[in-house]
Amino acid sequence: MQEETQHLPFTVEEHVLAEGRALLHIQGRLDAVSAPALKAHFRRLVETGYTQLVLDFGAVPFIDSSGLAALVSGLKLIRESGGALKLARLTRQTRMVFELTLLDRIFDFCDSVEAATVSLQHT
Amino acid sequence: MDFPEQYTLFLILAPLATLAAVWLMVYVWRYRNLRETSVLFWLVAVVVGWLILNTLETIATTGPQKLLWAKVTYFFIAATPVIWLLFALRYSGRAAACTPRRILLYSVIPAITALLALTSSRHTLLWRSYDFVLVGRFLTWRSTHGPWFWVHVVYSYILVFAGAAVLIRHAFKSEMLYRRQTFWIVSGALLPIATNLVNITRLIPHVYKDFTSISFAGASLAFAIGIFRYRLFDLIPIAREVVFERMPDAVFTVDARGRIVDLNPAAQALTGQSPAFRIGQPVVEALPAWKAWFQTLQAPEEEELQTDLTLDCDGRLRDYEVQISALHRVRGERDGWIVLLHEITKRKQAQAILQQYSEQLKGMVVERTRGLEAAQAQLLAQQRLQQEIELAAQIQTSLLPAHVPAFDGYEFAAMAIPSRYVSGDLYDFIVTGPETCHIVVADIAGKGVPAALLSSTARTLIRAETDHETSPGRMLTNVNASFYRDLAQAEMFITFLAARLDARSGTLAYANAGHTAALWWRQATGRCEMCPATGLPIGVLPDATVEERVLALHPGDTLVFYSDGIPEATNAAGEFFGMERLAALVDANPHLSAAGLMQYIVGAVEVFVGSASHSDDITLLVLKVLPRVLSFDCEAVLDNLHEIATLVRRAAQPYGETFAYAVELATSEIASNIIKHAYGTASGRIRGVLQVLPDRLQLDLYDDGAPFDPNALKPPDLGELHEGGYGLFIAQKVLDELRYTARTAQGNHWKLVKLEL
Repeated sequence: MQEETQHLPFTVEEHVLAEGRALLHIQGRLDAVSAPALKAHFRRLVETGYTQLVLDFGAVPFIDSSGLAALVSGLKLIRESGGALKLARLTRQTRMVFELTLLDRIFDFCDSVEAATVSLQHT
Repeated sequence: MDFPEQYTLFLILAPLATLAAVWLMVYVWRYRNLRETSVLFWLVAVVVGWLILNTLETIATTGPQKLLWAKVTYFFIAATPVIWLLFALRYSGRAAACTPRRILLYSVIPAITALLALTSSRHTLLWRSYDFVLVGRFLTWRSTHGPWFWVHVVYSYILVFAGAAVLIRHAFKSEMLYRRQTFWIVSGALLPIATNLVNITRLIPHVYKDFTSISFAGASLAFAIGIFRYRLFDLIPIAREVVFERMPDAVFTVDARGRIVDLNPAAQALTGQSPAFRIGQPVVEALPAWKAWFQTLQAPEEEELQTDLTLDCDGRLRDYEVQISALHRVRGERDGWIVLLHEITKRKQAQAILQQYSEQLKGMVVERTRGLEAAQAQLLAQQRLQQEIELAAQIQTSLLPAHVPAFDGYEFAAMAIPSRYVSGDLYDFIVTGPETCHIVVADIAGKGVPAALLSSTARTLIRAETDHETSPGRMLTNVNASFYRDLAQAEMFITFLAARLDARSGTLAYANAGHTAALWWRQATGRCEMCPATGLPIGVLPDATVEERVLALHPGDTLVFYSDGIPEATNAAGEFFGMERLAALVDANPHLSAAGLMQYIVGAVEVFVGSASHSDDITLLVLKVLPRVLSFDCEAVLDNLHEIATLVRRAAQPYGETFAYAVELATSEIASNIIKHAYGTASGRIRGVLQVLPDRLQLDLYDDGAPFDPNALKPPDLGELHEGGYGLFIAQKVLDELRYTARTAQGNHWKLVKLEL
């Protein structure tokens, strides 16, 4: 699984769940190369009123500090707009990066996309 | 008025001329095999006949006698011009004009003349009248000429003039060399004509006697001198043309002063290699060898010289057989030499090849004889037992793999030293996949052919049934099941060690059925570890199973498999080489390559055994896990980030998911930092050296960008929302060592170390 997703190009698939609410399927490594693209998605979604987001990390094998920075910037935007951000399906390894920086205390993690969606409705 | 002295003179000259002509006939007879000379012979013969009859006619004392001789004489008188012409034609090389039909044609008128002379008493065609007058003591014959006489005279003159013209023309056409010869030939040609003209025209008053016959004898003599003066090839120009000019051999003449006076085309062809080979040139210039030959030839008794000569003709060596013969003047005075060069290059080459073959053959016979003798001695000494052992040894040798396998990151070495008696030691490498290899070491506890045959069977069976999934434990359990009955019947058993190396994960699974314990030298501890038997030998119990163990190998680790021939090697004092000695050898030599360590062990065993002979054969396999080093050098752009991270991840993958992620993460952080901060918008390169060492993974990254000040780095406020500054913190956190040194010789240096592989 890890090895298979290593070389996939970085893509973000946006699905509208409801008014102001969206699901993003992310695929590929989230690092200095792809972080700007993710940031751009955040900016545009928040600008167009989508402030409640679920990010599916099931196909993300790797996140480094640049990826973290993009997520932090996204979280800031969303919080400023009164929205919410849920991170779903992180691997043990990618989650470790959050733990190292204690950011696991700030982000909300869910084991599945469904759980994340449900948890989003409750906020 | 008539005076008798002219007849006296004739009678003095005629016998002398006759004698000379007869001598000449004898002389020419020796050269009769040449057709041209044979004509000269006939010319002289006719002249001799003429002379004799003319003499007889002159001394005849009665009219009828005189008339008879005169009539017979006409036969010779008529024949002479015809033969004269034939000689001239042959001499000048116009043999085509001498066909039998032509000769017959030329002879018609002379034949009629002779016939008319014989029948002259019945007609006046030749002589109108004749009478006999006494002049002194001589009864002389006077005639008035009839009409046919003039026919005869005119015809004869035509022939004689034609012949003379041919001779003179030819003589003047000949080369310079023949000037003297020309003189003699022209003189000879003109003499009879002059004499006869004097007689017919009565130029000298009162001289009636015809001296023509004598002048013909003189002419013949002149020809002979002209012809024979230079003997051999100067014999006759026609002979020169036919024999000399077209001769394949090079022939040339050298005069008494050592100059080349004549040479044939073949000799001229030699000019190609020596421009000095020309008429008039000193022969020494063309043939330096002449100097030596001349030393020999100077002696008066040396008439001939035969020798060999090698000439360099345009870089090709040619061999010649040289024959030199002295040339003489009439009196025997030496005039020069004729030299003949007969090429024998091919003959010489053939001789040389023949010689070579002969020597080769001789050598082969000697060698063969020696070989046969040796073989015979060997056969006598060894006989049947040896045959059996040789057969067994052959079987055994054929079982061993010709090559050790090649896997990146691993090094193999293997060898088998057969003892005096063949036993069933066996080793094999079975490459079962791009990254898997099975290693088999076995010792059949039996000797000679049966053991060798059994190991052959075992090898075939294992080879056929092994693939990349075959586990060593399963393999040995199966081998036991297949072989138990045969082995039990033969009262034999096999100690067997099977291992499967997974080169990718760096693991070695092994099962050991009663074989000697493998030695595992670990880089981490710097010591040998025993990997003892995990089951009973094959052939002991019908349904025995052999356990399997898995070793996680690390770079620098060494595995040693061996037969009991090594620990049981015995020295003269009866001591065993032993396991401790072997393990100590391995411990002491971690720096050696697999092959180096193998040779070292074998050498140590040999030294230990010394003069005591091996009782068992030795099989030794060494497997070494090489420290891995990867290096890269690429442009410092984000596009290369994945590649760098993936490279490191691949190398770290065998050591676990968490380990690999940590290393990849740290690499990504540092590389991103270099690209984004050290270079920024500037372009440059990023270089890396990755080492997978026995105890750690180390990555050294180098850049030529702006140096980084570690003091300026503030540790991030964890738990707060910061959009950066985590990178170095994360790297530090996941690594065991992270060190930065600005501006080293290789650039700014990041050292990343992750321990606990």
